[in-house]
Amino acid sequence: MKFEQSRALFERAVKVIPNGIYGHTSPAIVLPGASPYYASRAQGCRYWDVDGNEYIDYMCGYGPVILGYGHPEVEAAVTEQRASGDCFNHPTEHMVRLAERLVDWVDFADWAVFGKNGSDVTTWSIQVARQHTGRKKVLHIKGGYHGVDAWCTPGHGGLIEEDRSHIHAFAWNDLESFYALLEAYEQTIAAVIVTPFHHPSFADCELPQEGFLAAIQQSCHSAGIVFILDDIRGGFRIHLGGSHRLFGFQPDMICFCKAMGNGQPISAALGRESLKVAASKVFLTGSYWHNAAPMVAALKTLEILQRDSVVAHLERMGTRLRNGLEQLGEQHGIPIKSSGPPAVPFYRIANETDFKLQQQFCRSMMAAGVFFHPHHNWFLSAAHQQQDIDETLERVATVMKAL
Amino acid sequence: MTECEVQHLRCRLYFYAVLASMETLVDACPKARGMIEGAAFSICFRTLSGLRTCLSFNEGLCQFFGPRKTRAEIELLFLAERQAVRMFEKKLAIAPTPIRGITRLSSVKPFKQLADYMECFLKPKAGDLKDAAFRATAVEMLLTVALAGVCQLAEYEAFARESVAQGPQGLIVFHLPGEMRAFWLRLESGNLEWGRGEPSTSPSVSIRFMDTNIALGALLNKIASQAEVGLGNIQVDGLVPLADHLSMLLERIHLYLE
Repeated sequence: MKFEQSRALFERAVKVIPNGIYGHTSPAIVLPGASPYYASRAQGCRYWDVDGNEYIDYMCGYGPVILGYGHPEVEAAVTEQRASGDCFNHPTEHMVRLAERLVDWVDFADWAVFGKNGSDVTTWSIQVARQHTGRKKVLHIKGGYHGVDAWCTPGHGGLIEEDRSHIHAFAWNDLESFYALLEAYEQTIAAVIVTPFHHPSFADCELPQEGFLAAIQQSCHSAGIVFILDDIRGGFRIHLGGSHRLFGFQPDMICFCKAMGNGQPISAALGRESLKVAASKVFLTGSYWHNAAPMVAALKTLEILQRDSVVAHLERMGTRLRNGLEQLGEQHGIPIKSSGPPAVPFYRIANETDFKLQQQFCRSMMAAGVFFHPHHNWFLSAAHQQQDIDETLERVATVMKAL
Repeated sequence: MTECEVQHLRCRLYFYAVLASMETLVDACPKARGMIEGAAFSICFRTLSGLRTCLSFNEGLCQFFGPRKTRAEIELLFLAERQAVRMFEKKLAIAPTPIRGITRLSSVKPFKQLADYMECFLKPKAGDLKDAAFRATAVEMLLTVALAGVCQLAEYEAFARESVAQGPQGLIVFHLPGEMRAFWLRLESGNLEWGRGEPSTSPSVSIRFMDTNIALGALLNKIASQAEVGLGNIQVDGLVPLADHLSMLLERIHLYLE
């Protein structure tokens, strides 16, 4: 597999763009030199890079593409809206319809607001919690990801100590460490923000232990702390009503983004009635945040998710992939460690801590035309059909045989 | 950090990281060896606060002992850490007080020469960098300062200490181009140690610089490292977060050293 065009573009890019490609798609955190840097087109669960290499994709644009690339119904709805206009002086009716749809689907929610990215709504939710409680501190899971703003970015450039002076971390599935922070800061904690399952990069996903999130909910309720669920990765992939439904707890606010608009830029924060006044006081806007096309895309995507029982499909396809990978690993003496929900899984070579064999495996899978990310959780879409999973597994078998 | 804590850390960085690169310089550079040819003395810098660093020079070799050697033939005392920092930065400073070997002070001359020469490598000028041998020496010296410096930061800077305790652990090996020696840094249970040569155990992550210009750029914080990784000029294999974490710590050294 050749990456000449990717390389040539990247050489041009580094002259005019810091790092050439930045953020989560930086080649430095995938497989430099052995993975594509630039895409050219995509359809269903496959995409092509600028060198014309085709991949069965297991990242789905790092999550947003839940129905598959270029879904005809979503694309048609977006095209139709664009013909009428997208960016206006005002919101459109679609914003109201979308808020109504989400409030209807999410059991505890009474209102919704919209942004473009996950960070927009996680950071805004923290502000709402501070406005509501009049407190400063925020507790979050150690190693959790909530976006790129100063309070939570995993990067280290441009930060000052004060950015994190009221942000404190506790360990996933470790109530003792949560209670310790609660005891230390109880009267000053505005919010606790968690993901429904722990999905750190370069590590296994971890599901919540029985009662872990419910216990946090209980403590937040008792102490007047706003409990925020960052459901950016899991939302609409593992449950249509929000991932809390799957794990038996109820937050006070929930943030969605990926999977909402099948790739169109849109995110949302939803909350309880009791937080509505506080929410009304925290300024929220952006140049494109009221655009109509992404809202239309979200409405159509949600409609299809429900109509086609996409969550169940993702579970089935994800489980087929998981079983296949585990069996092949066993067969070839390369044990696979599976973690996370089947629709948002992470697979790595078991019994290694340095990812070297994992990187070699994923390098070979790239060469075989399957985009397996070595370090980040994967995503499945409605476009992944049984034959795609089986084709993937055939290629895995060939690669494992050669490893 | 208070101003006093900052001065303490900076003094440590000069004593235990910058001076450590003098041994690297003499090892790597014939001209530097020539400067101390015939010299035979040991020298110790001390501060009233209790910091101490020693070097010995003998038969064209330089050995850096840091705080491990307790006595030297010549001992110079700084009354304040700030005084030591200012001297290393070549700012107006009161000279340290000789407390041992006062009659041998003239033998310190080659040390001063060597220290001036060392600066050429640690703050390299564009013209000097055209020479491949110069670049190679500069890379080894800067890497010495970086790794030894990170060990100091991890112990004496609150941010780095916390970051090291919470971040990924493991062994990092740096492969330099051609025949140059490897360097390594081990981060285990919050403790750091570094060394030259191939480590005895398999590293968690290896960082390979494809040429000395890239290595210099990375060490002097003058290049976008992720871009160079994408271009294949820096290869990182294994536990990438450990390399990223170290990179963050290395950048902090620039907050304290000129």
